[in-house]
Amino acid sequence: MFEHEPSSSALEQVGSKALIRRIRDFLKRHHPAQRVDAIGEEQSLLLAGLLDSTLMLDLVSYLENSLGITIGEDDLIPENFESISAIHRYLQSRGLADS
Amino acid sequence: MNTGLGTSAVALPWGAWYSETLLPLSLPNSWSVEVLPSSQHPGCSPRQIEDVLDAPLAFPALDQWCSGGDRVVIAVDDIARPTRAAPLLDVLLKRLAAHGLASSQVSIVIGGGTHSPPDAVRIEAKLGTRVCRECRVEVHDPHGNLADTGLPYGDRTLWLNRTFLEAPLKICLGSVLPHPFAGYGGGAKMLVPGLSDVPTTDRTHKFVLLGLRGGTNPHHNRFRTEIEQLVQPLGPILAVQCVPNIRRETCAVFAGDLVAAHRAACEFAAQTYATPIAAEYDGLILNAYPKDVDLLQSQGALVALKTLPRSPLREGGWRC
Repeated sequence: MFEHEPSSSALEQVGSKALIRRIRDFLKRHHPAQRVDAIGEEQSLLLAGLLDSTLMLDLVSYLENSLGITIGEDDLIPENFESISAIHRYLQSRGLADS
Repeated sequence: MNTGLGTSAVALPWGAWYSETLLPLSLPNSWSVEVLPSSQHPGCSPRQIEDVLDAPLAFPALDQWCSGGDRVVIAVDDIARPTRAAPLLDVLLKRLAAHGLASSQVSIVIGGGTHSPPDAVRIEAKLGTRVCRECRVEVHDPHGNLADTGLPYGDRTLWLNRTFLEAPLKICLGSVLPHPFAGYGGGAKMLVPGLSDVPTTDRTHKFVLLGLRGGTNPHHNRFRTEIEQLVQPLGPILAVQCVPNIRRETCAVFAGDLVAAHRAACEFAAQTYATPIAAEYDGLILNAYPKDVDLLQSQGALVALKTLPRSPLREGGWRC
């Protein structure tokens, strides 16, 4: 059963490395760690089979709960979620990750 | 040995464009089988199609619109869609000619996005002999003959078929059928991704793969409303939207503004394709016809399950 991380860091900036680690940790809860470790930050999570429509819902929910944000439908576009870097850039644009 | 198998009277429409036959199913004699057919509406007559073209919805009158240019490009869906375009095109060409646009001024672009291009036999089956003889016919190539619309789409701009984009008069002709992601096919979807380049098609399908947007109601399907807004600056596009019956005949046709004609067709399709299901079943056999030309399109057979208010299957039931 997936559990969200404590939201003590909600609305606070998260270090880039920590944020990327969180995204990878999330993926590791659903996929073998080796597969997640092997994917580059710019590689497509879709093409790698690490993200699909079902997991996307969980990912959005995870990010919203662990970071204390709301992700509006306008932001739910492939450019924001296709890779680890894309997710990171999106969260940076929301002021949630340092550069 | 009695296997319980018998020759059943059940036969399903099968093999759109290729064989157009009935597939007999051999089911156990002990089964109680019900066939829930799709639309039995009769096909439209040429006169009915003509009347629709002469009174376009939320669109200028045809004579007025035709005076706006000397070249027409008609985008037609490909054989992945069941549209029998030939009878529609016959009437459309007749009406265009009546307003001063001869067949020699008409080009046809078969828009199938990134689908495999149809061969000459399929093109003629789709468009009819007359159109192939009298009009210029092009199969959309998502890798070539493209032009930049300058319209932002994602992190780049939208590229569309150049022939279509540069035509002073643009028409989209195709079917409106339930679609697993876009709610219903047709309308602006004939442009995006139907006449788009590969990166645009790629982006539209990423929305599908990520489960973003989508939905059965075309009014609330953001994927659809976004592409409608996207192509709106291209100017007026005459949409000719048909709803096919179980024999792939056009049983209703709507013409007019790209959105208005599409919505009218959706409303008709929602009624004519609605299949009352009174009972619960132990098993369902879902027929993909008339979108059974390839495995990818056949997933459309599952749309019915997404749109039903409750499952028609008993607990533990099966479907295939």
